[in-house]
This record gives sequence, structure tokens and C-alpha cells, in this order.
Amino acid sequence: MKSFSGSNPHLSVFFSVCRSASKERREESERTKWALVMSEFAPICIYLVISPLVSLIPLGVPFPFASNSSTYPEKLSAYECGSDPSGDGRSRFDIRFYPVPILFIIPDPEVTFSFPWAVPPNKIDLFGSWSMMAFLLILMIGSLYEWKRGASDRE
Amino acid sequence: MIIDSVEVETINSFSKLELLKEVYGLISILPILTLLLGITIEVLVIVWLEREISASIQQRIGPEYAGPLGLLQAIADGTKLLLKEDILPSRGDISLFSIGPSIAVISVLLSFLVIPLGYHFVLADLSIGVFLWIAISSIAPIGLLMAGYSSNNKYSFSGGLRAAAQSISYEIPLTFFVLAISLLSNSSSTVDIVEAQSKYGFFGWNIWRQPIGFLVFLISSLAECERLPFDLLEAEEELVAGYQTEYSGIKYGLFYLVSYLNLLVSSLFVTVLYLGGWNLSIPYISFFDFFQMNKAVGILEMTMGIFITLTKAYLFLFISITIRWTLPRMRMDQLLNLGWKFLLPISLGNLLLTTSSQLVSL
Repeated sequence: MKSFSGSNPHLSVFFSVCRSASKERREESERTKWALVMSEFAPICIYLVISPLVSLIPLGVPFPFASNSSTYPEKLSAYECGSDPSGDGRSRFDIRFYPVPILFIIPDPEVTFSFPWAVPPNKIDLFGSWSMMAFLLILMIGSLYEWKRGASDRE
Repeated sequence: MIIDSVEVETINSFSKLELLKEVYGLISILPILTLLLGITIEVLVIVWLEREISASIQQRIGPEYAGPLGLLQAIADGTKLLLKEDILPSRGDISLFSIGPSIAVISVLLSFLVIPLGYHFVLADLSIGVFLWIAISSIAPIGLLMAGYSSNNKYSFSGGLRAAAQSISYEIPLTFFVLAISLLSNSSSTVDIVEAQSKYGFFGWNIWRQPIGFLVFLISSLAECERLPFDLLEAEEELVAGYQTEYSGIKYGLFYLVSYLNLLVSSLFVTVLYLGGWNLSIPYISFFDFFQMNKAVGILEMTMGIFITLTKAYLFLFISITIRWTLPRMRMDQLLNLGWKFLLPISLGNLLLTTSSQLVSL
């Protein structure tokens, strides 16, 4: 966005005109901002349409070549190295996989909230950094407790 | 209402601009298609490269029948997979089964939006570029879990759970190190991060300012891509093929594609974040002062940028492929311990060190 406004002096003049503007001017400046945002995100929107097409079209390609006469139970059943499948596929699973995402939930927003703090350090000075340190300290105490209690042990 | 000439001029230029914005939206299909074509060619090259390097390491000959030097091996594999029968497991969840690999592919393809190959040569110059990559790469474990669960196979389910646990465990150290790089460059935009490394040439690379970060980023991205030494999910002795067991035909091909695309994205991000991106890194020499023509310099710069970025990315690819065929596999609990108990404290410590060094230099 920075290169965009630098390359167009008209737009910077326009922004300065807008500040002391009437309601019509303010609507136009909102449309400018909308246009800028859309230009930044337009490739993403188009790509969001194209990439599902790229991944879903190959799923339909085998259909003309498929033969629908040869499905038999052995082919469709679950693979267990040659023997018959024993028990249901959705039986109980190891409980130790359950805490891993739960313990992921905490550091994930920690990192997300750290992004706005990390990027402008010269604007938030020492006060901003120390406030974030307080936040990280609280979460670190929680992580230490979890480590000592062995929540992330043995898988 | 009195409107003077300056305002009329600005309004006119604004309306011209808005028209351009709408046209720009349509025109950007062409760069996207170019990118997709480039990605396809790169995947072919990576597949061939992996087979050749693995063959050299194992002292045998790699592919040599499909095309000259075996270069079209990936196309041959892909065509074969396209023509295979699509087997749907009998009591599995058919819709989840079909969508699982697609979700993984979509999330990896979206990461290519923010990779810069030159100064104005990026699909979407977002101010939150790397954050977009981190956020989107979190979607891939959902696809893997869907694939594992819907296969109605105990071992697939177990593999899918392990895949999701591994992916999310290594995302946090990865994100903390990306955060440290953002801190150093005062921006989350990939273009700004590369620009911040361009001042001192070779010595301005972030790898010298964040050496631990480089090593841990390598390890975490290998874990995210589920490659050895972290590929317990596809360990043939244990789980046959993990969450990919019940897949056949082109859906299996999509998982294959996800694996290599993920590797490519990771290596491109290593280049952008640590190795200086598209900058020709000879310090203090500006290569283009010798040229006087403007347009030719533009195209030459672009080509040089692409070439340099790809060279650096292929260096990391070579390292990954060699690691895959050299190191033994890690056990699941060793893997999770490494992620949670070793890399996470290191990443926090590195972040605090970087913050304090930035504050001291303020």
C-alpha cells in the first residue's frame, strides 16, 4: 500500500482534501478505502475460487475411465494387512491425543496477540513491551504448571 | 457549492482509479494462472530431484525411462494415478473422505499468495503476509483429521490423530520464530522483510541475526511437512500409510502433491525470512548501476530475482531431501516432547532476547 500512494500524488492530495470535507467527500473517501482494500485482497478472493477448482476438478477426472462392475467386499473393506477387519473403525482412541489440542489452544492466541505487539516496537516503547511481558509471564506460569504436572508426557 | 479546480482534478483522477481497480481485479487472473503453472512445474522438478538424490544416496540409479534422464517421471506418475479406480471405503463417511485431501491442498496452495519473487512480483502484497501463511497452514491438520476419521480404519484414524497432533505441536515454535523475524523487520509483510535484509548484502541476512531461529525453523517446517525425521505418520512398518491408507487414485495423488507443495512453501519461506529473498547478496555492489536502459533493467531485475529466490529455495530443498534419506525416524512421544518441551521454551527465550536487543538499540 505504501508504494501505491507514493506512486500517485493525486491520491495523497485527495486524502488531504478529504480531511476538511463534507459528507459527500467523506463517502468518497470511504469508497477510496474500500477500493484500496479490495485491490489488496482481490487476488486473494480470485485465488480462493481458483484453488478449490484446482483441487476438486481432479476428483472428477477418473469418472470417464472408471468401470463400475468390479466392486467386491474385499476391496471396499478396511485395510488390515490382509486379514478381516476386526471391530469398528471408530473404536476408542488413546486419550493422550486429547490434551494435545487443548494445550495448543492456549499458546495459539498467545502468539496471535503477540503479532500486533511485535511489529511496531519503536511506537510502543518500553511501556508496551513490559505490558506484553506481563501477559507472557502469566501464560508461562501456566505452561510451567502443565509441564510439571506431566500433561504433555508419554505421547 | 463552489468546487475549485484542484478538487475537480482529484475527483476525476479518483474515478479513473476506481475503474482501474475493478479492471485490476479481473486482470489478476493471469498472474494467478502463471503462478499455478509455475507451481506445477516446480512440483515435477522436486519429485524428480527427490528420486535422483535418494538414488544417489542409496547408490543406485534413479528414474531413467520416463523422458530424458527421467524428467517426466512425475507426469507419468500423475497420469497413472488419474486413471486409477477411485475406491470409497464401504462404511466410511464419503463426503469427508472426498473433501479431506482437497482441504489440505487448498490451504497449501493459498500460502503461495504472499511469497515474493521480486519487489513488485508478489501476488498479494499484504501487510500481514507471514501471518496469513501461519494462519492458513493451520487449516491443513483439519484435512488430515477428516481423511483419517472418514476412512473407517483404526490405523488410519490413529495416523490422522498423530498427524494433527504433530502439525499443531510444531506450529507454535514456528510462529514464535516468524514473530521474532517480524520484530526484527518491523513488519509482517514478506516484501518488507526481504527489503530489510537488503542493506548489507550477504551479511544482512536474517540468518546471522537469528541463527537459532534458522535451525529451529528448519526443524519445525520439516515437522510441519511430515517429512523424515518426523514422518511417523507414513511409517510403513507401523501404520501402512497412516491417514492415506484407504486412498487410491488421484486423491492419493493429492496427498502426494500436498507433501511436496508444503515442502516448497517451507523452503520459499526459509529463503524469504532468513536468506534474503531476491537480493543478490554481494555486499556493497549494486549490480544494476552498470545498465543505463530502464525497461531492460526492469525485466532483467525480475528474472534475476526469480532465479536467485529459486536457487536459495532449492538449496534448502536439497538439505531437506538429504535429511530425509539420512536420518532415522523419531518416535511419536520423542517428537511431541521435542516440540513442546524443547522448541517452545527456546522460541520464547529467543523472542525475549530479540525484544530486549531491539529495545536496547532504540
